[in-house]
Amino acid sequence: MNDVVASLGLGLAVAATASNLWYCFLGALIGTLIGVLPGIGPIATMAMLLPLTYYLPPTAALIMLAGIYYGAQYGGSTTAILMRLPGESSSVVTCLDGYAMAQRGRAGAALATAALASFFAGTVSTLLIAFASPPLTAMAQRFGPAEYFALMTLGLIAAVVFTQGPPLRAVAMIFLGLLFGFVGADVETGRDRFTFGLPELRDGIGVVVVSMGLFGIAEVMLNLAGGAAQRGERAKLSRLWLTRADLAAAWPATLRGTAIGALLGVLPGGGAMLGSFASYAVEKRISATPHRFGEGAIEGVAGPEAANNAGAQASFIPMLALGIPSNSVMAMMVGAMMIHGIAPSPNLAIARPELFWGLIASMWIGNLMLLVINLPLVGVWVRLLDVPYRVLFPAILLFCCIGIYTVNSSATEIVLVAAFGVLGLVFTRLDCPLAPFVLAFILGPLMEENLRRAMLLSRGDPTVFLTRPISLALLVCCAAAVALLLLPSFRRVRATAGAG
Amino acid sequence: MSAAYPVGTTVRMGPGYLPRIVAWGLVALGAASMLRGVLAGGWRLEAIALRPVAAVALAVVGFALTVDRLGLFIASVIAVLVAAAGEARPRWREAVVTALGLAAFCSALFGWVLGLAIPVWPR
Amino acid sequence: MNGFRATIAGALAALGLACAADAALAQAYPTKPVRIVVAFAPGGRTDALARLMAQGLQERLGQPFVVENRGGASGSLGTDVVAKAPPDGYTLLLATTGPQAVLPITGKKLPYDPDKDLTPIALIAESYSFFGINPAVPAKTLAEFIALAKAKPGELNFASSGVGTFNHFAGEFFNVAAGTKITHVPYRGGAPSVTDLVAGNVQMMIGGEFIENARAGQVRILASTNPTRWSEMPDVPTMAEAGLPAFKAPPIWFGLMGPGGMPRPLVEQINRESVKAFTDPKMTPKLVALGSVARDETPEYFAAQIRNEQKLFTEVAKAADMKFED
Repeated sequence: MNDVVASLGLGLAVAATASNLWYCFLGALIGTLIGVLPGIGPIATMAMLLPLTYYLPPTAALIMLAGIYYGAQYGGSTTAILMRLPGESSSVVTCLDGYAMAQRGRAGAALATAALASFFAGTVSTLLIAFASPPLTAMAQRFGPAEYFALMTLGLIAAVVFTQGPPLRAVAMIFLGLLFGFVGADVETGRDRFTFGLPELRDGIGVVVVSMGLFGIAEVMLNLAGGAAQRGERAKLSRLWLTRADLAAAWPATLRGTAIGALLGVLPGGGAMLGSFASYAVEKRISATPHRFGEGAIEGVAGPEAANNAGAQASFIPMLALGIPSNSVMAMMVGAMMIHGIAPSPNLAIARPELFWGLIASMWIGNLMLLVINLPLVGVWVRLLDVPYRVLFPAILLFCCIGIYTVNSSATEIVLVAAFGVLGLVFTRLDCPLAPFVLAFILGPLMEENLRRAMLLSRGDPTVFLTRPISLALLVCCAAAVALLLLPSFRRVRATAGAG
Repeated sequence: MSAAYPVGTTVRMGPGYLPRIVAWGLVALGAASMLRGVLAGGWRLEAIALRPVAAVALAVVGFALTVDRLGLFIASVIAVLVAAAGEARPRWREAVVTALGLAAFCSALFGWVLGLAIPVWPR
Repeated sequence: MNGFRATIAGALAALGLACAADAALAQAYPTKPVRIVVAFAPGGRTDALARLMAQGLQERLGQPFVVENRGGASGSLGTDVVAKAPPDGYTLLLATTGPQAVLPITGKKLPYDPDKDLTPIALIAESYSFFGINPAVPAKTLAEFIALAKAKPGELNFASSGVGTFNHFAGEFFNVAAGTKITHVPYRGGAPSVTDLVAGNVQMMIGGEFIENARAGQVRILASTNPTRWSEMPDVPTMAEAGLPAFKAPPIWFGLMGPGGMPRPLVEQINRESVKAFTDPKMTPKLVALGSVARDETPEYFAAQIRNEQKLFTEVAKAADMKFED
């Protein structure tokens, strides 16, 4: 224990040097500014700025890249709240209640909540990484394909249980999402499915494409189609800050979100996004007034934002512990290390303690900087909403197009965004919930992959799902969730909540 | 389409297995919803103004088709103008100004300041 | 006779001018930024090598060399971009074994012709790959592992970063060479496959992705699949030394390629500069961190190597009865 404290001390000393602080700040600032541009997520930003970091010492380079990552994440939340444009996959959930809050004139409160919740989550996660990394990694290692499958099934079922409105629609959306998720090359056999002969589709439809289309473009279409009246309805900005009631509601949600995000974020490959969805579902379930969700419930912003940030930081853990990147952002960090001649290794903490602990300490400092940068900027961002829509919406469209193009330079993807925009419009008009679709789209292929892999490893023995303890526990939760759905009393409660 | 993929057995699921289940499930759900709708007496779908929707969609598609060949600037102008055509009475002068302004801003920001791999001018 | 002599003189002059112009063109390259396309998402070994090469070439030639990531479809999207670009040396591809030697023989329809639409320029680096097992597996040498696998046919698994990747081919080749039946478990990419190897869900993997994990004791390396031992790991025997000379997998290579039909002087110039960039002693520690060594070969050697490897992989696929459906 003392060791860790001493190491943290070393880390803070490294991270707090003037030059490293400066790079941290620079990274966070640039990350936020670029992350605010819709469609340009952390990966694109980091790739763009990677060449700049060649000439920096490795520690500074990594600190700056990490700063860019959080900055871009927070910027993504900003556009999610203000324009219903998810900056990256984990901001999708923020689109739901965050945007609703903005529409009710509470954009400032939403942005502030997001910032504070993220900061809290970031602080806790940094401590977690420092102190609990080995046990968390060990726990994550116990997750094999069977466990992942059970977890994802639970996620999907939870999506149905906790969505407002007729469950039939939610289930239909889930199936539709699954279907779209199947597009792409099958992992196990390498065959292409549903690609219509287009090699661009061989890796599936990008999540960014789907979420930008369904939420962002569809929103633009809705606003234009509904006429000017719909936009004018947006109440004038009442307050930039949080009331005491807000804080009281957001605080516990933040705590829960952090826990959920950290736990799910440690699992390689899934992490931040799953955490934010899960947090939203939990908040809705626990709330005494679930009907407020979707209309601007502050817990719906605080929880997922905290989970989002906790998950993002927690995804550093597998990289630091195993030297294996758990998602594409971590892969970039690994790449950056390699360019500097550092091989990312499980022994990094021992081989280069100043790098390892300096990075961890700067994570916390980075979060602090984000808060410092963004809270004052809240007012500025909100003023953006005052720009006449006639000028704003073409800008939104352009940024979306450019943003999508920067990821893979694929014009096909831009066309797909338009298609999903229309789809999103249709869904929203038909009162079909979007969240289950996106969740199923993301989880579906993963679920299938894990199911088949589990069966492959067990040589066709389906009882493997029941004999492994974690898997069994998760499947029991699934059964419980389904039972909840079917119980008549629960249904009555949902009906009254829906009507109320 | 998924009918063509080898379904395989439950043990070694072919790539067609789950999609087939999902597709059938969707069909069943669709049938169930239709039944419900018919039984409940149908529901009215509010009319959606098609023109702005089409304009937005075409604007995005237009950008996609032109950005590779004609560069960012021209593609942006095209996109904004097409989107502006979605208004019942398009304000063309305003649209042109907005288009040029936004195109210039985006080209400057993405093409030069950020140095992204997007061609700004026609190849 | 005057006319004839004049004609000869004119022809000679024209020839001389053309040569000078050719040389001048070659000398003048590059006069504007060059892009190096990487057919994978940022963050992997190929991407890191591309960026190192870009940095090296930029320092030597003075113009910016920008890395452009165009990932997707096992590397064919990025390759296609280069195949369709003009052969003026301003669009280059950082090629590697997977998309260039393996992909063309898997039967997938490609939007370009892998032989005609690409010009091999330079072989710049080779990576080491190893035969690794999970430490919980009770085998300390290759021979022990083979015996174990033979004693339990159908029980062991090996991981790969996808169907049709080097790991996949190497693993199946091992099955053929050693007479074992180890089940192939494909993953989406290198990271999840190594994760499961470390966790113990699969027992074996052949590749270069887990070198650092092995150093930390999370994976046990039994042999190196390269023809010679690696100076960084002198105790690790080669496959031949460890008792399986029948296993001949080529090392994973990285090289520069350009669009088809590039002029010869240009190819030679880029070859020279890129080789010098990587053989520079400053580069060596960075290459070591990537488990690689620099190479110095002519474009013909490179082209021949690619062709030979395509043949080799085709034979492996046939021998191991690998099916690639589309």
